Amino acid sequence: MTQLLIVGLLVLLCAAYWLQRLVPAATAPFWRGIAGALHNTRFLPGLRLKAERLSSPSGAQGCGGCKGCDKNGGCH
Amino acid sequence: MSTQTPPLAPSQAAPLRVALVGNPNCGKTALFNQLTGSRQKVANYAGVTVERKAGRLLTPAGRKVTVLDLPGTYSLAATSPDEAVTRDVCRGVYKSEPAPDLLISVVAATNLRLHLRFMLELRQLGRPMLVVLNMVDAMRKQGLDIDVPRLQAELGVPVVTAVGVKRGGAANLLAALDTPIPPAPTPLPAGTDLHHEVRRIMALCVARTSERRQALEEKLDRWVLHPVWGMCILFVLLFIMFQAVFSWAQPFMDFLEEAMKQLGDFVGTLLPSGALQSLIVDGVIAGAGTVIVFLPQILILFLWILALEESGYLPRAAFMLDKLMASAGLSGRSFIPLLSSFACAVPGIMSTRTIQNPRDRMVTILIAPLMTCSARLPVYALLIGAFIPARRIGGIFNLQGLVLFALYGLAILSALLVARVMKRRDVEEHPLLLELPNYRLPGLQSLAIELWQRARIFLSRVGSIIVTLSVIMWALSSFPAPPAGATGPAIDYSLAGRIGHIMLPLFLPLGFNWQICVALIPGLAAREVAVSALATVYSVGASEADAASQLTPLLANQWSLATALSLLAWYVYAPQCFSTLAVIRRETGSWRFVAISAGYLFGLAYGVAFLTYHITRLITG
Repeated sequence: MTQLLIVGLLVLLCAAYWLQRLVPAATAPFWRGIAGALHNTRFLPGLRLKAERLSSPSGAQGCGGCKGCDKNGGCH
Repeated sequence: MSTQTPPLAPSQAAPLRVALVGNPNCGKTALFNQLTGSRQKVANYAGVTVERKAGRLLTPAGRKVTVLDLPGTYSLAATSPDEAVTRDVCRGVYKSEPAPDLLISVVAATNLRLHLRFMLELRQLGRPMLVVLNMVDAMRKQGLDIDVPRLQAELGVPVVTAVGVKRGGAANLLAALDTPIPPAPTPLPAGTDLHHEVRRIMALCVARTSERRQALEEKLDRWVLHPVWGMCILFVLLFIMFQAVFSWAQPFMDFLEEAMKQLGDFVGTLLPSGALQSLIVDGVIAGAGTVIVFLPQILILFLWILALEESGYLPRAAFMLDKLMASAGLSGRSFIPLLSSFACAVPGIMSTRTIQNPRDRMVTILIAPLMTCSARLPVYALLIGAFIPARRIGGIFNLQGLVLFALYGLAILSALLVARVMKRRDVEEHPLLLELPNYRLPGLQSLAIELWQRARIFLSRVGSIIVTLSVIMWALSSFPAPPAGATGPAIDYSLAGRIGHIMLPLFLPLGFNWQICVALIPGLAAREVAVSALATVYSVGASEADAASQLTPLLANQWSLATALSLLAWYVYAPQCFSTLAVIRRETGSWRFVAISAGYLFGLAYGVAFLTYHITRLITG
């Protein structure tokens, strides 16, 4: 049972990762919630900034989710 | 030669916005990297930077500076999209962005005659500016000396020297940034002949201290640019490159394959049997591990490309291929974007901004995905390794390397044919004006750094895209469990099995089985994922625990040669990954081109794979 729970969690995380890459607009409400929750706190400033950026679909767009292009020496 | 830092007052506290401007291939991005600690791509040819890049730095005196790295241009009369960016930023009309506080005009000391003209054009804008005399080390090697104080007096703006590619080579520029902004120079009277002005300044400031070293370069160019020998040299270089990909990489690949197998066995014994063990062993290690094995081949391919980039050979290859490109209705200017697409189509498509003719640019964007990107290499290597014997032809050539070379050649030929069809009504020839850089011996350190960057990028892709997709693929292949009393293999009842069987009627004429059909879907995210997806699907479906590490012999046993060749043909033309489609949308500003690109590539892939499958079956019986 524990194994199944861990596996389920891992699969969900991977699915969320791809949802974020492919349809950033769908995850924007989630990030808005996180940004709102962290807005008046001093905790996790990095996460707050990331959440603020990803809470608007335009902030989350890259080359179809390929954010590695033209950074760190080129693409891929 | 002395270096003159302008005698200006102490530093200011306000953040400063400066822009690096200059001709292509004068070393702006190398300076940008030096100043900001960034690792933007640099190479020894014109047109590497096609976008405005921004970075921040803190000078030794603590001044905050924002540095803009602009695409190179020969004049402010822009003829291509990348040059328009530079023009607009310099004139202060770029997308609601204020004009830079200071223009840093970068000129190559080795090519002053050409670069000073643009510097004088910039000077006419009447904005504060500073001149960086870059590549002074190469200039000395050429037997040239420049009187910097005299040059500064003649230009009427501060001049500092720099060596952009050496550590600490931008120290003079950093020191200059700590001083107040110099006053804007007074523009030259209207109607001044800038070429005449350049000749006058050069006569006053440049002296030759020794005989020309150019003789060697000219001798080399006589061979490299020769209509017959030049083509032979290009062909041989590319041929050796693909031979090396297979020959040199093999020991490293064997080592990685064995390491992945050991890791799978170790984790298999460490975790109790169950879903988690299956996920880690059959999903993550089988999926990602199968792709990691191809890292040595990818690095060897990049080693060649990087060495050619740094040597200054690539623009010469573009010059040599101009005639061939013209036969397809394109100019040699399309060569660099197409060559960049061998690494990845995304930067290749972006670098089409250097192409002035809009129609040429659109056609180059549409054919760039046909160039074999490095993500396809694992697919090719897997199938070639499984179906093509590793024997020598004529005692010298590796047969597998020959097949790889043929696949790349087929892609290039197809791209030229497609371009010819797309430009059938517009075959006017555009003259190619291309700056040939000096030859340079590739630096071992910079090659090592670039290769390390490539390895990191590849491994981070494995750690993100491939691992996550492998996990999802494993879940789709494992659930739901077969119903009670089911007789077939469990994977047939899984979601992946069902999806594969739904797709099968469409791909059966190509000789694909349902496992291949399933692998094609994640392959749209990144092509190499098709390999990890195949490994996961076969691993989950296999009865033996170590099936994952044996993907190559497993495919060799289960697939026919016709199926393997059909899949290879499919991947020569395979529809692009999402990133490529997104960048086509961004660069063309139209979904129409995305649809055209995806549509024609799918049609080509299907048609050629169909023909390949049936012709092979006819031949092999």
